[in-house]
Amino acid sequence: MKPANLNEMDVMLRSLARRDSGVVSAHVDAESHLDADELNAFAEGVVTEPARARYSAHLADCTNCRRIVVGLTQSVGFTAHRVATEDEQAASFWQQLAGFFSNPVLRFAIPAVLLVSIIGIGVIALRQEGPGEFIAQHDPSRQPPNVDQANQTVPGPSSTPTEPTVAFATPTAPIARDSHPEAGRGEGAGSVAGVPPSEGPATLQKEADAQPSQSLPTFAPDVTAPAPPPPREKSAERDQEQFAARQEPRKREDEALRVNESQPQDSDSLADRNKAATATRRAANQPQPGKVQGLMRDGRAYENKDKNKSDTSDDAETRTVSGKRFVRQNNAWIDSAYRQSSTTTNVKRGSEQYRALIADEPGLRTFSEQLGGEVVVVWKGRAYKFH
Amino acid sequence: MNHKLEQLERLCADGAKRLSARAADDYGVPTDSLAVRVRTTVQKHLLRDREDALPGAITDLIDTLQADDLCLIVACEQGNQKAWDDLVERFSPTVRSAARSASANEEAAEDLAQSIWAELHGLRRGADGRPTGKLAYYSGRGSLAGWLRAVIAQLAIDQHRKQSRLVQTEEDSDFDRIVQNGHQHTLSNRAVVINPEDETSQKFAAAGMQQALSQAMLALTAEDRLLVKLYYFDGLRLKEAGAVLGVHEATASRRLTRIHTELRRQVETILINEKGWTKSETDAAFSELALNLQTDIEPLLSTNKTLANKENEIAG
Repeated sequence: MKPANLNEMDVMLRSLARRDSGVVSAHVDAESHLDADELNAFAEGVVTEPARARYSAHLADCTNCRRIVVGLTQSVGFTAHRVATEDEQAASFWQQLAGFFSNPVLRFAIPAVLLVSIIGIGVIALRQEGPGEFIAQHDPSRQPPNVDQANQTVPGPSSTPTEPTVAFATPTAPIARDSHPEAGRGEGAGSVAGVPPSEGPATLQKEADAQPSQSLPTFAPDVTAPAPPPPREKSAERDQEQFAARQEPRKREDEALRVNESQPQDSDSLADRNKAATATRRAANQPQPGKVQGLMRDGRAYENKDKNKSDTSDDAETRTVSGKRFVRQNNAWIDSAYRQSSTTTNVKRGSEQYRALIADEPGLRTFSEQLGGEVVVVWKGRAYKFH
Repeated sequence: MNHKLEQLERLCADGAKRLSARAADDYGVPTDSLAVRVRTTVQKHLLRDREDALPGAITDLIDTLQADDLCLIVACEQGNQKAWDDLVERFSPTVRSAARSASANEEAAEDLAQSIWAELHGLRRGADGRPTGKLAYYSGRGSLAGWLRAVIAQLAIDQHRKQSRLVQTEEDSDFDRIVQNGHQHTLSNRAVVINPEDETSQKFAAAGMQQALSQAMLALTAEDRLLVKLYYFDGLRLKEAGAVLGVHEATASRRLTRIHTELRRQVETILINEKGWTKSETDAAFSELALNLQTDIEPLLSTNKTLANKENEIAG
């Protein structure tokens, strides 16, 4: 049936209601009125199906009894849990399908689906952007080129700004030597992977170009200031001094390693020692946590923040009133026994319904008065929301 | 037959024992007295509509009775003073609240609240010398608080009727009708002059359709008719009407849409089969009538927002 036809019936029924108001109950026999017990049972939904049909038939014709039932229902705020009746269950599959694709449903469903889709795409897009936001990260796909090749290639001063982020990651050299023991053997004390220290930052720049991804995240503090390289002519001496100072501990370790290498030892013990030395250096160069977090734009630092936030939300405010435990959620006190699936009766403080409820169940007053704002309390198997 | 009666007696006696055990305080009510009340309840709420109810159904009904409230009331009936004190102490707020709702002012509410206790206790005495009050009608099927509210509402209506007999006043609905008729006359005076022949045929069609609609409404099921009455005649919102019927607002809305469809089909059938209309005449009459009624209603809609809200509820 078209909606226009439904409107016609709606208008006709309104007209009939206006014409017949106050007349219908005149035909009801006074003795057939429902008594208070039956009216209350109907209002509270505790009648059997045959009795319900009988009561409904009377209520449809009796204005007075109907008014009493309406009043009872509203004063208690009773929400029945009766499931769909037989006529609704008997609706055929095609009727249900037709109802699903009816205009009123589609009018709201289509915009809702579109909105959800847009939000979903947005969320996916945002999540994909996340990992690429790290300034320094370990990317296994970018394997470092051979060190020897790196030595042969001298990049110009116009290196990309991102590359210098690992320009001073000097501790990577021993790792390279561990992986290429032949290369490290026989080099001078001040050399780094075959590069003499006198070559200064320029050589290091080469090394950085050659091993862009060799640096470990733990060395990040060295790259906290990825400022563009200063003019080489003016600061060459200062850079050399700084570099030499940085290389001092490494020199000592390399010497120690050479002494060890000169003694015949098995490869396992040597590897262990190298690992120990590397660990020592790592400990010495351990970055400050604040700096590491500062490096990450949207990544781990914010994840940590979120963790902290969730931790604080776990410590939600709780209160216990009359043996019931309440948790503060969204500016409302929620009874710990409350379940989302349970039906909730909304009661406004100070309303007639509230007074009636408190009159029936004085125990609820304690919760309503001791807990301010919105309070959801489960009482005798029924949930009430005071607001 | 005797076997059935015996079985019923036994079920009620067993049920009374369980009730007594369930009650927090049974006020020393003898199980026999309780069994009599239980049997009355079973007769009233189950066997009256289903004589062949199975023992399981009887047991289920007994086990869902309000044990505390029923024991309290039976004890009050038997003159237990402690039970009376408890009744008054526990339910005075309920009585006052219900009386305020049913009365026009605070003074009338106070009078009503006082009179209800006398009605409950009973001013006359029965054959056994005990007062015969309204307490005898409480079955324990629903809550005692709800029952008290229903008793007060009925008492308020009775008092209103008595006062109406003394003072002959016109009902509000009569006033409404007079106002509406006057308003309709005004509207019709304002309307443009139409063809008298068309006007006559439209009136005839409208009268026939209204009659068919009234007839079709009688063919609805009791619960559907009740929903129509609650929504259109009593002016309740769908949520409120659904609460009375014990269904969700959305269910009430779907049910109302189905009722519209059924009524439309039923009216068409009556007009075609009983009044000899053709299908095209019926469709045309529906359209014209709806248009005319809509035109008449529009001024009312502009002043009555609740009607507009109701249309939105149906659409939703």
